[in-house]
Amino acid sequence: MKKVLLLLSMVALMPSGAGVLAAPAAAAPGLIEQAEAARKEADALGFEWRDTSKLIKSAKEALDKGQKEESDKLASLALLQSKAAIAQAKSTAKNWKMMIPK
Amino acid sequence: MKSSGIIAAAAILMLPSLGVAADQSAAPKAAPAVVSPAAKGKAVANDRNKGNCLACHMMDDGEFPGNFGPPLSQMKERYPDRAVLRKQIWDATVKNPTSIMPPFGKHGIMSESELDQLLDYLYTL
Amino acid sequence: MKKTIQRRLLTGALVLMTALVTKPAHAVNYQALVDADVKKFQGYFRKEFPDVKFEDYGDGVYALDEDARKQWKEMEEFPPYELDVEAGKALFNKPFANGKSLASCFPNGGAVRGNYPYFDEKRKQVVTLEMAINECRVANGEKPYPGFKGDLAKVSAYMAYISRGQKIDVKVKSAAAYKAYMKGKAFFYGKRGQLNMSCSGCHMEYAGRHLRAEIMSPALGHTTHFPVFRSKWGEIGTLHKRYEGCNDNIGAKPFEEQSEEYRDLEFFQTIMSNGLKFNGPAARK
Repeated sequence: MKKVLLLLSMVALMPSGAGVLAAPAAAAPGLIEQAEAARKEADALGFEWRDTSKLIKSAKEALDKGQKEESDKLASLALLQSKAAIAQAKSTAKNWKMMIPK
Repeated sequence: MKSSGIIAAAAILMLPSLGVAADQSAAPKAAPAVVSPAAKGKAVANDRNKGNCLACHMMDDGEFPGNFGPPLSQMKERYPDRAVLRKQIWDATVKNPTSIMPPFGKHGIMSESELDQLLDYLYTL
Repeated sequence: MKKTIQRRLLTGALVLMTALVTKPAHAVNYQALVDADVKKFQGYFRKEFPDVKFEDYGDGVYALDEDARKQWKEMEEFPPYELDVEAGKALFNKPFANGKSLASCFPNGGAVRGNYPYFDEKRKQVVTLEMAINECRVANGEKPYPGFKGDLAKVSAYMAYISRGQKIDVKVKSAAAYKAYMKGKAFFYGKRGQLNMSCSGCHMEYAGRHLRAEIMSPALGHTTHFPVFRSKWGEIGTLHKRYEGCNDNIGAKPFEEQSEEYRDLEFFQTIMSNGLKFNGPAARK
């Protein structure tokens, strides 16, 4: 009984999730996760670009096929697009009146 | 600049033939045809998902050019400094914040190497 | 001495508080602000195209280019949208399961194009004709029509057709209406998409110029003639379908039919055409 209780308390004190036992690489968000998070932010601002979700989908498919380099290339592009879209949203919100012809 | 040109040329020599007219009677395993950087640049210019320059500019022998922007000719005279032209195509809004010209480099519409090839082509006009 | 100062301070504080909670002597005249915008906007086109008559802006690009106008006039002899208008009429009068029909929701036999879009002060949102059509259906137990094309566009085409000639006179009377108007205005002028373009770029500064073989239509008159039978689509489509296509073209993720963004944009664009007449449906390249 005591052993069981000791074991249970150890488990309870461990950080939740498999993080402790998992390989270190899984702890940091990969390119695809980063791209998807940024895409969501751009979408929330109403400035998501047309092809970003397609790129992320292709990146996932490439990863499933074991094409890591191709997947990284696509995810990087999706991340670039999302970051640029977020910057564009902020710039447009600030500067759109400049576009009104005199 | 020069070394990247040599690397580009070497890379191009490694590519399979891009359908450039070759001697049809040659053996199947003939050496691949050389595609100049300028020819690659023309392909970038005419790709609707990349340069798509004819949408807005009169350029070379292109049909039905648009007239949003000036004709792309005498580029050596108009842009003697290649770096200036490169910056303009990379992001035209730096010089003119309301410019309608897409930021081809900043927005990832073409890669840095594609932009270099495009410049090679533009400087032949 | 101290008591007088205290009383004066108290009185002053009361006056200040009263002033802050009651309506100010002159409320903001939103309509005047909007009218000033309209004047500036329409003045821009008058200056850019001095030979184009104001009334002709409802014909879009055909008001600017003589060759295109000739081809379009020929198309209008057998308008490609005629069958859609007939189909729309049938749908307008077709009974729902509960016995009512679209005709039950709209007065004047459905000739109400001139009433839309308008700002619904109660619900604090822009109401468009297509939105009203689908709200009628849903209120009567029917499924809403899918967006962009098909039956929705056909019914809208019929209602536009029988309303031809009605004047555009969209009002902005409240802070909430003005807020929606400003959202539409910001959308119209704001750069977006991978190509970093704004509606105003192509349709104001570069109106009349060629994009490859296409001529850019002027923004003045943009919403007068919808829905549109577009040759490129091979069918009739709504204004929001055109918005979708344009956003897609510039590398931006489009919004949905009757999204708040597109309704606010339609609101702004229609206001900018105040004074013109509704002349839909229309045929376009």
